[in-house]
Amino acid sequence: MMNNPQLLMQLCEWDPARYLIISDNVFSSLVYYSHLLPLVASLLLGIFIISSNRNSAAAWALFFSIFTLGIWLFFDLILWATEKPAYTMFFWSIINMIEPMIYGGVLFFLYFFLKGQSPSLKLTVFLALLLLPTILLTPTHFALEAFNLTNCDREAVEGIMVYYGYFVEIIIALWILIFGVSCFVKEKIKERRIKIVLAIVGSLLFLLSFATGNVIGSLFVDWTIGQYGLFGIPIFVAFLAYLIIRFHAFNTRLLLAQALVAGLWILVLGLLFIRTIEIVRIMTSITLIFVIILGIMLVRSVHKEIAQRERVEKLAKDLEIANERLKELDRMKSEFLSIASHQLRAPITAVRGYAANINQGEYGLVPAHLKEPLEMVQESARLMASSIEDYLNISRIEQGKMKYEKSTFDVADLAKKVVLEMTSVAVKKKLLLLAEIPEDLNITADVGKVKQVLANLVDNAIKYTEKGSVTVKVTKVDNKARITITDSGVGIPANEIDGLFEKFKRARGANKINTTGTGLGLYVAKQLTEGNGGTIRSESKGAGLGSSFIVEFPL
Amino acid sequence: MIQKDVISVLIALLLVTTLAVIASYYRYMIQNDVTFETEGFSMEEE
Repeated sequence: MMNNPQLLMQLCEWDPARYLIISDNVFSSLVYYSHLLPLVASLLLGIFIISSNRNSAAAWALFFSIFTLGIWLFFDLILWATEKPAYTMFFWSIINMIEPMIYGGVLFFLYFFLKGQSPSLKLTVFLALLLLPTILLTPTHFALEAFNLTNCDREAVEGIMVYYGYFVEIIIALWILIFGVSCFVKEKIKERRIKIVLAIVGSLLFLLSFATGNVIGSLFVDWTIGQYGLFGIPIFVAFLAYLIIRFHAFNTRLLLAQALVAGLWILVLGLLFIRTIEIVRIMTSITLIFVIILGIMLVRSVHKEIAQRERVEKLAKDLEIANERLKELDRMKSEFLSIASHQLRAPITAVRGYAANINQGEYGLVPAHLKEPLEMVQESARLMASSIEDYLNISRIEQGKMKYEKSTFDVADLAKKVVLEMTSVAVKKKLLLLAEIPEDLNITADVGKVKQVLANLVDNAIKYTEKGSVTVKVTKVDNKARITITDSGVGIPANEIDGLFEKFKRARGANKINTTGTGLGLYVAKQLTEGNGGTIRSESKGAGLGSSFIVEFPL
Repeated sequence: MIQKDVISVLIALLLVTTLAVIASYYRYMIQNDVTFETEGFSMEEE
């Protein structure tokens, strides 16, 4: 009769469990506290990490460990509460199966977190083969031999596979330690070394505290010790939280701060449901340690954030002041340029004027040996006047003071005039200056500025051509007047053609041909063309192959 | 980074796990195949 299981179970008078986990069979509310708190805190953390890092393998590996842990905790709670032997056997068998898998999940997480990749295929297969026996033998008597009805403790009699499971866990724990040491030794940067130490220590603390309680429980059949082991879980959570805040891992700083505060609320709230004073003392002490650690981390983190924000604000202010100063300096530079150029203009005009008059014999016959020097003086004065004009134009453009007096005129006729004026310069250099100019092509623009642009381009073409010709062609294309100045000169390399119209930009090697160039002519030409509603561009087949400058104005 | 072969091994492991869970559920919850150890029953807690 004493061997009749049904009768024996009746004698034990177990309380039927409600909702799987609630019954008087649970010896202390400590059990609920030690299971539900880590379960909720860890799941919250896992969800937050996944929601912000869906593409991170480390995040998914960690979530797998946390999720499996959650299942372990919930099933363990069922074991505490249930009165049905079948339930005890089923949930116990599953717990024993997944326990080593939690270790495997933590191992994978560490590989991803510290190395950025999974363990190699060989190591993964090794791990799988390690876990396979516990998994395959789960439904057999090698995992659980029987339901223990020699007492009323509602336990399973564990088979030999439980010891194999602990063996696997020790192997994985050692693997984690060796992996951590090898990463530490290879890493030279201090911050990353700290990260490695924290990740490995946190992981091992968690696994050890989780395992120790269960190993002792299994060996000495005293399961209450296992409850204290579960408090290792919040330690791991705290470590991971510190890692995330300190090393910006998983990008969840703000969310994590919120999750940690929520965890604290749960901790404190849980105290309300504990009835025994001694347990309250224990819980409060653990909660206090947790609160102190988290509090310090959070305060330091907030402190750093505030300091950083203040630094950024100060930098922004400094930048604003510097910007205002720069604007002022720019304005002063343009003003100076304008004043200086105006001051230089007057004397240069006098030099040009008098040199021309002397050359024309207005002050008497000029000796033959003085003709050439006088022409040099005139030419130099002309160049200087042209440069001063460029500087003046730039300062007017930059100050927004450039005025365009637009009128309708024949651009073909203007082009002819420019060609006539530049013919003597071309002849002096023994170059042909050709013109292909039709009759009557009217545009509306500032005639002075357009003449300046064309003269500038023809002058450039002559300067940069050693031999051959310069052609000025005026055509009508797509309701636009197009003036093309083509030369057989030095050409423009492909990589320099885009920057040609920038201030002070000269093609490499331009100095060999023309030492007096300032790099301002084309910039001014572009500004004046665009100010008149036109466009300007250059084309060249390459160095030594001549170039074309094309100016277009709408008709 | 995770290699495709590694993923295959993990998926295979997951499938085997699922089968083991189903087998265990079938044995204990459906068939109610529970062996009891009753030798030396005592109601007192050890």
